[in-house]
Amino acid sequence: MDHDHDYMHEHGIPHDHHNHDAAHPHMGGADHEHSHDGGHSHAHAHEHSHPHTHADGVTHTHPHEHVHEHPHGHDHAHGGCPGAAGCNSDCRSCDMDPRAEIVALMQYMVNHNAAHANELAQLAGRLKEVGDATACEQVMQAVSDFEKGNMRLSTVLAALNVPK
Amino acid sequence: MCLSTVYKIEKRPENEVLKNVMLIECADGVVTLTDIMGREEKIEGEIASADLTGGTVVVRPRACA
Repeated sequence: MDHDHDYMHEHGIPHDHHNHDAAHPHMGGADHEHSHDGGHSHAHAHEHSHPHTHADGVTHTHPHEHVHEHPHGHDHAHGGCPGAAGCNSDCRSCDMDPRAEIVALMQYMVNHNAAHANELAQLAGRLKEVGDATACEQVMQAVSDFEKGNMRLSTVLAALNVPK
Repeated sequence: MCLSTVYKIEKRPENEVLKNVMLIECADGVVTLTDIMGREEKIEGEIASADLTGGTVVVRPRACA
């Protein structure tokens, strides 16, 4: 039995409204965005499915939309914004570009990986100095693999840097 | 070496002050944090611990003299 209905309700079906990004899928496939600061209530509509059992023992799942209001009493960042937990911005006034931050972090990590690759190569050299040529060779092979991975990240980064 | 997450008082999610911190400066009882995007946070206190492999720094209020 399948049916759709719209209604206001409160429900006890556990689903997580407290750890989510701005856009998140529900079972019904409806994605939605919202932003909020901690410590307030807000309403939003979404579609999702609840399995339930009727008195006659028939259990079924049907999608439905509903609007509900729920309070939040916590601080968190939305919209993919990885900003500070203590951020007091209401997001609408925030000029942070989440994409720019992702690119900045990617750039940092690519550089960081390159520095680590150099450090590992130096360690390989020290292994050779202490007479372990085999380990030196293995570490240098690992460094080579590491650099290949980092090269791949660099390629992604270059693509991310192309203005959309 | 790596970017850090800075917490106030102790390492608990609700105490997180700033993520991806690349610079920490301490002066006149104030710890200034700067993240990779240049955002700045100032906390009165001092660095209690810095776990450089775990990327975690804890800042605590300075004890009264």
